[in-house]
Parts: sequence; structure tokens; C-alpha cells
Amino acid sequence: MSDSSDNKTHFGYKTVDKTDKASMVADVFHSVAAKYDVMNDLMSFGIHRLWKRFTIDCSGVRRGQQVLDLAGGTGDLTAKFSALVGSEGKVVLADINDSMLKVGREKLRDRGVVGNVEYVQANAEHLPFPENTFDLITIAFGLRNVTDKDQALRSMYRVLKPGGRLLVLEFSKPQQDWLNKAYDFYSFNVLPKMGQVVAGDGESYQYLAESIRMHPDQDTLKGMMEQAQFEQVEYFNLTGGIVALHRGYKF
Amino acid sequence: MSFFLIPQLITSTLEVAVNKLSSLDPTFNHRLSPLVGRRLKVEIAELKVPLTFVVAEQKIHILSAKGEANHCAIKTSLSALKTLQDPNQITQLIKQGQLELTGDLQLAQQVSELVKQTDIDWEEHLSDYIGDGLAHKVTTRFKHFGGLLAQKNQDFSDIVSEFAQDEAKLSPHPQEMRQFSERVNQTRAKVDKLAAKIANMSAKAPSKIVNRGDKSS
Repeated sequence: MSDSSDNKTHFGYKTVDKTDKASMVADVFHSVAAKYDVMNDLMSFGIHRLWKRFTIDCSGVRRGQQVLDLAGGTGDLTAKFSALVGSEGKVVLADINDSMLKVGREKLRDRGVVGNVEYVQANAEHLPFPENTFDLITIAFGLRNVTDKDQALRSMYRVLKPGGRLLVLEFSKPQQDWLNKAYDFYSFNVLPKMGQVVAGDGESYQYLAESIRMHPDQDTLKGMMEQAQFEQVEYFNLTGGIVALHRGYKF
Repeated sequence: MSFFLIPQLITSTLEVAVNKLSSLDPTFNHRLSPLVGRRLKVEIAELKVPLTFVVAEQKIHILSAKGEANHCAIKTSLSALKTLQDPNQITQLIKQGQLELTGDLQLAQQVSELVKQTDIDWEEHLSDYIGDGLAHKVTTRFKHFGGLLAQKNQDFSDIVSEFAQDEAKLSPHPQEMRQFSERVNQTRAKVDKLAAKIANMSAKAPSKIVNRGDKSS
């Protein structure tokens, strides 16, 4: 839903220059990187772990495969994929934000996840990989922050191998009215305060809540994936649609 | 759908439990190493969630994936699961129709063997928390309690069967049963003898009797 008319895009509810968005998002994540995991657990009551598990269950990842964990943040998915693809496979953890990448790398190394993981600072719109490289691409809670989502989806399509699949895990639109209301109250009244107290940064979490509202809903995103040539696109609503997992294949 | 993500909740809990338990057996990882990279899917009738066990280095991962290829897939029920602990019983269970197996039978046997050989020294692990003396006491008590429980169980079933035999006359005493079946055997022997006699007699005078019988019918 970016203003395609000119060089403007949204940053939460604000409208900013397209060229500025990346650096503004970067500031948000530089600010929250250190407390990212704690806040995730706290904000989602730990349910984000189950959302990620669901993603892994849908990934069909096998030993020896090549996986790209885009906007991989602090590496929750990477850790699991690293174990599942084994020593013959490879996982690339890519994030546009070097603070997040550093936190992720540190965490994974501390947990002994080494050997088949590579770290790449990359922009999802211009992925620095050859065509047909990966069997699986995941982007969990990352697409929302990308300035040009269509460009990013096309870029992912390019580096995916034929037969490979893309999984997009992202906040979406709750399907029931009551849930929508409760969720709105929670994200605009509780969340920023929680962010203020725990991470010392309420503004970033205000941005989080706003950016979720501006993100395309289930069917719009499905359409965007189909636009980018993905096939058999389907989505699964998780926790009433607060989060949705979109899956598409390249054939 | 998927509001509470129950399958994911089950697999994540189970994964933690399985890996915690296996870490208590110091030889487990060594015995696990030949299975690294193997996938075993288990569908238990009572549990609606299919479980896929993926063996990685040092850890077992449990997924609830659908429609993915595995080295071996088994379908069974909770009651048969206990019997599965004995690798030799697997083919038996398949014959009895209590177990459906597709793929690599050897993998199922290896996993069964792995589970069977897992031996956790509870006393040793408990002693890390409460000291040797107390740990010994607790485990001895526990074993004693287990024995006691088995004893009570036995007593109870004795009482029930005695009541059924002597008071309620619902079932016979083993002695009565033996006598009865002996009598049945004797009667059967008599009947057999009689049948043989009749056969013998009708062989001697066959045509008349049979023909007459045919006409009348």
C-alpha cells in the first residue's frame, strides 16, 4: 500500500521519502536489537515460538538443502534450519540491519550453531545471490519493513530454485471483530508502554503497531505473491489472523 | 483455524521432554549418531497430530509436518506403543494388524532398540540436587513404593477373583474349571467312540439305510 504515485512511502502512519524509510527502519532495529528476544516473548506471550514452529512444519526442509532466512533477525529459524539441513546443507542468515545480524551471530555461536551458517548483510529488494540458489526462503516478520515489497518478492523469486518455496510469516488482519478490537487496544495502549519499560524505547514499538496496520492483509499479499510469479500460493491464519503464513512455490 | 497451534504446542513440549530425558543417559548421543539425518514419522491413532522425528547431530527434532517424505512411517495405537519397545515384536505387531509400516523397517527397529537400551540412572541425577544420601533414600523408597504398588495390585486382583469365584459365583475356581474340562474331554471321547461305532455299522449296511433316507426326504 505504498504511495506508488511518487517517491513517498509509509513509515508506520507517517509518510516519508522512499529513500529515508530504510534508514528509519534501521534506527528502530538498532534501538531494539539487544532486547529483541525478550520483547518478542513478552509481547506475544511466547506464542511467536509456535508461529515459527508452524513455519518450520510447513517448510518441508530436508537434509542437504540450501535455505535463506531473510530478515532473520536474531536467528530463531536459522538455528532450527541449521540442524535440519545438517552438515551437507547450508543456511544463510540475511538481514539488512547489522546490529540485528551481530546479535543473531553472537547468539547462534553461543548456542553452538556453527559450520553450516553464513551471515550476509543484504537488502531484500536486491538479493546478492545468483539465480536458482535456494530450496527455501523464509522471511519472518520482515516483509513489513521492506520499502518496495513487490521488488523484494521478485528478487526472492529470482534466487529461489525451481521447486523451491517461499514462506512469508507476517502480522496480518485478525478475522473476528472482537479479536480485532482487543488486538488494537493491546497494540496501541499496552505495547508501547511495555516497550518503554523493558527496552526503554516506546517509539519503536509504536512504529511496530502502526506498521502492522499498514501491512497488506492476507488476500492482498497473496495477490502480490502471485504477481511476482509464485504459484500455488496459499495462506494459513494463525491465532485468528493476528499472524498469517503465506506459502508460494516456484516451478 | 490454528488459533491455539495445538500441534506445535505438543511437538515443542515433547521435543524438550525427549531431549531432556535423553540427555540424562550419557551414552545416548553415541548410540544416536548412526541415525543422524533419518526421519521417522509416527501416527498414533489416539493423537490426531502426526509426529515426525528428525535426528540431527546431538538432538532429536520433532515436527508436525504433513505430506513430506520420510525414511519410515508407522501408524499405530497407544496400546501397541509399549510393545514396540521390543524390536523383535515389530513384525509380530504388523502381522496382527496393530501396526502399519511403510518404508525402512530397519529404522523402526533401530529406534526401538535405542529406546529400549536407554537407561537413566535417576539416583545419580537426583544426587546433583539433593545429595547422595537423600537421593539413595528417595530412589529406594520409590522402588519400594513401586514394588508395594505391584503387590497391592496383585492383592486386589486376587480379592476380586476370589470374590467372583466363591461369593458371587460369577466365575469358576481353576480346580472346578479343570474338572469341568476333564469331563468335557471324557464326554467328547465317548461321543467320538460312538460316532466311530455308527460309522462302522453304517459301512457294513450302507445302501439300504441311505436309500431309504433319500426316498423319504
